[in-house]
Amino acid sequence: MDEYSNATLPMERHDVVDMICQIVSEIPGAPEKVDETTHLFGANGFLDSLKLVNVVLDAEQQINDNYNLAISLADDRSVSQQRSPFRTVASLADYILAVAAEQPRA
Amino acid sequence: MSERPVALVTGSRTGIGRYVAERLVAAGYRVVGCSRQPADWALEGYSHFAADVADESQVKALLTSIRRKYKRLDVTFNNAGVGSMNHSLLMPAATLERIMSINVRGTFLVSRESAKLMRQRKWGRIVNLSTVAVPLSLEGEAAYVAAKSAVEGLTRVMSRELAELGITVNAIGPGPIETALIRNVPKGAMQSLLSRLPIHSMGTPEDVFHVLEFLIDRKSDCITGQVIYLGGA
Repeated sequence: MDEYSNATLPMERHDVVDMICQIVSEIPGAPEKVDETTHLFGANGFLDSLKLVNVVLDAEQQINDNYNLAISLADDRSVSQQRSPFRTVASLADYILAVAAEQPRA
Repeated sequence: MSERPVALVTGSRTGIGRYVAERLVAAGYRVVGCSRQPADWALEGYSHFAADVADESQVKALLTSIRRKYKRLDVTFNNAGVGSMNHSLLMPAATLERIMSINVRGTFLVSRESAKLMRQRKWGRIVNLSTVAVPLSLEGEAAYVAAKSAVEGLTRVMSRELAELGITVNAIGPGPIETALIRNVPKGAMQSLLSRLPIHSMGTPEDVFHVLEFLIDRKSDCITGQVIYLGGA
């Protein structure tokens, strides 16, 4: 998996997955065990639209704090993708890494 | 004693924005203000940022700074705005774009980023600035009325979207107030506007603050999506 260099902290996939799992596990109604395969939004997902907003915003904020990156995850691209990046923890982590790779440092 | 609340006032270098910022400081708020130019005044409890509300990266940086410094935001007053008195047939497209950008894009960006911070405490107040020119469909103010109509639309829709996050969104629509915004409006045009209102006198920044104070009060939890006009429009 790609790594994205940062003066202070490289963004590694397993860290992003851990971060999402931590955020998701604190949402009311989350499964007891949250891992890469956990379904978030859409078919079999447990997040309603408001909970998804909170997950996305928490992720954006933690990325801003941890990696000094100001990314927007809920852009037109993510909303219009046929396979939503918000389906599972894994798909969200991959999407975050892809968006982060395109962003200048905050 | 509970921590002092934090307020953001845009366009706070002069006029209504400055007055509101000073009154909020006096009321115990820690106030952050912004304008495109640096402020030429200072006050304990007030900090100023040079930021353009229509610039997404500058707005994000402003709100990130508030989050890191105060870890909360209670009130946002979207006061920054520009107008231009001109017949629509004589209105350059660039003027329309400038008016829409600062009034609409600016209000949207600051509201969006403010709400992201406010949601963490499940409480917040966003107050936008509209104008009586909207209900009066004021001639010569096509771009300004179009922009403020959009601000009112944002107010109503965002009030619904943000209600679940404990955030209210309202707007205040004052009549003419003696500020830089209307300094170049001809006296006759101003009299004509005032004559169309039930109350024929100019407003004051204090009138605006009075309504703002009401809307941001903790007891105003159930007031959202409203536009309160001054002068009786």
